[in-house]
Amino acid sequence: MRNYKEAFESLYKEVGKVIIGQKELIEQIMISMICDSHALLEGYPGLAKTLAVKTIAEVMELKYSRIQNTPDLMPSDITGTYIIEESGGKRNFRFQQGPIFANIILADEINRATPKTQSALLESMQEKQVTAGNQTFKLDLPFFVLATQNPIEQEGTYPLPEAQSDRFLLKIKVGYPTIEEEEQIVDRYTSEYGQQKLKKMLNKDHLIALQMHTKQVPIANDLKKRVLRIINVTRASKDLIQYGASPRASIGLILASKARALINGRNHVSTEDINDMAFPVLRHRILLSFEAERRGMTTDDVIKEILAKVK
Amino acid sequence: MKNFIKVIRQIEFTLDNIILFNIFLTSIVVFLFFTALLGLFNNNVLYAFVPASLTFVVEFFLKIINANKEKIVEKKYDHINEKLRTAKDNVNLENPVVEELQREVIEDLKEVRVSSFYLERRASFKIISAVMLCFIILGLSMVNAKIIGLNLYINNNPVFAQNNTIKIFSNKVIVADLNQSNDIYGNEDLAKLGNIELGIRVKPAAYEVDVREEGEVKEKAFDETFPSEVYVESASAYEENIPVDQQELVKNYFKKIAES
Repeated sequence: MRNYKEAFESLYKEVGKVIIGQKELIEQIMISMICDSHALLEGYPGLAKTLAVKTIAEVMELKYSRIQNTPDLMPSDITGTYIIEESGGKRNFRFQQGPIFANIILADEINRATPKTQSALLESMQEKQVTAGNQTFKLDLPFFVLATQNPIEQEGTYPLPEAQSDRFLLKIKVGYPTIEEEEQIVDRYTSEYGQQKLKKMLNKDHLIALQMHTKQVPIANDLKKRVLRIINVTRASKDLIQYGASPRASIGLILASKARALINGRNHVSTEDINDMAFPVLRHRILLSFEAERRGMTTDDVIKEILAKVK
Repeated sequence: MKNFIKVIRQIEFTLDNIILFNIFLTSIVVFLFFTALLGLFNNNVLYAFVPASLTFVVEFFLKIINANKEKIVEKKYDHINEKLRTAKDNVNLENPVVEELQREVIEDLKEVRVSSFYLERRASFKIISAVMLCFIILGLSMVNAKIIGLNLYINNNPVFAQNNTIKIFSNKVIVADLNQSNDIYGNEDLAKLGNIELGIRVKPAAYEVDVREEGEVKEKAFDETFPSEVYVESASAYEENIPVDQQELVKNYFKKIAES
């Protein structure tokens, strides 16, 4: 377990050559990856969301592709389509794989795509396969979708319905860097030493092994019960929450806590892991009530209140 | 895994013993406290077993049956916080991560000292309290100190008065009527000899008759005579009265039968 911690520390260090600060973002992306799940990144433009994902893909020796979502993007633009191919005087249909056939997919501004396209993407995320015509194509493993959302430009967007955002394990909030970090960013990208060569740290096999180990991390019964109580409270707190979290949230919170423990070199889940992961796991799974919004509370405030309540 | 199960059992056994010792101490203190209290109010001291047993049962349930022993150890030793519980809860899982955790926990447990679970101050306080309560009970018995206010209240209270279990003989001495209705000897405090009633006062604590309080014994002359109807009569025995000629007749009858 100590080895994992060291491995992740060196990975952060490597990613840190490109991304300054944003340790939480990198850690949570890694968590969603080793949980064999997907993440939704939300933050203002220019906060290195896309760059972070691209850097991680590069460091991890994984096939990376990017889908820039627009309102006119069609499902076949993502999944792929049959094209006519001529060889030896004969014409055949051949399946041309779309950008979804990669290990890390960055679905940029997912809320700009139409619900039809979003559904095609989300279906692939869930099933890890693509069906075109009467053929089914398995996606290459490991398979991650990291979707970004822009919270300010709401015009001409199709916000993800709660039922669909539930399929993302984490909703990662990308915050602004500190003054010191921003100074480093400016220095790095305005000088001639801006671009750095990155070393490959993890490959597919490592990642699949990590995913297996994550599920093996044990959790104490009382901590497991606490997770269930937390999720239950989100359903019972009708004064603050209109719709509570689903059982998928319970699974997600335990799994994410296990992954966090593994990344931090521990062979057991701690209370700290649960408290830390409750925010990204729950923030897109609960819908605040009018009363909570009237009081000016955010989902994070409500989660904080619930965590304080459930000991 | 087998080793780890042994370690867990050892921890639980050791902690159970320590906790049981503390529960015994608490129960003893409660028993002595109630013994002193009941003695002071002139009640049966055996009733002190009730709160003591209750304390024992409640503490046993809360601290032994219902308590999480691993949490107790983790509370004392921060470096195994949540580790021990997790390892115990997942003892049946067999995978490299759990096995590594079990090995780590066994290693960490080597630093755990059993003596750290003895709450010296609390145990000392309980022992001292028990000793002091013993002295208090002895002292109270020696001076025969009683609080009769309660008895007065009980006697005057119509609820208790019906049962009439406690009576006040004088301002100083209290006599309790025990099992009044079923007592074959009648009232314990009243005995009759012929036509004379004798008041007997029994000291509740010492069970010794205080001669000074009884006063001088008065002489009584017995001048009654036996009534004239009384006489002695000898006992009469039964005799058979058969005439002589009938005796002869029977004798001859048997003689003839014998000859023939």
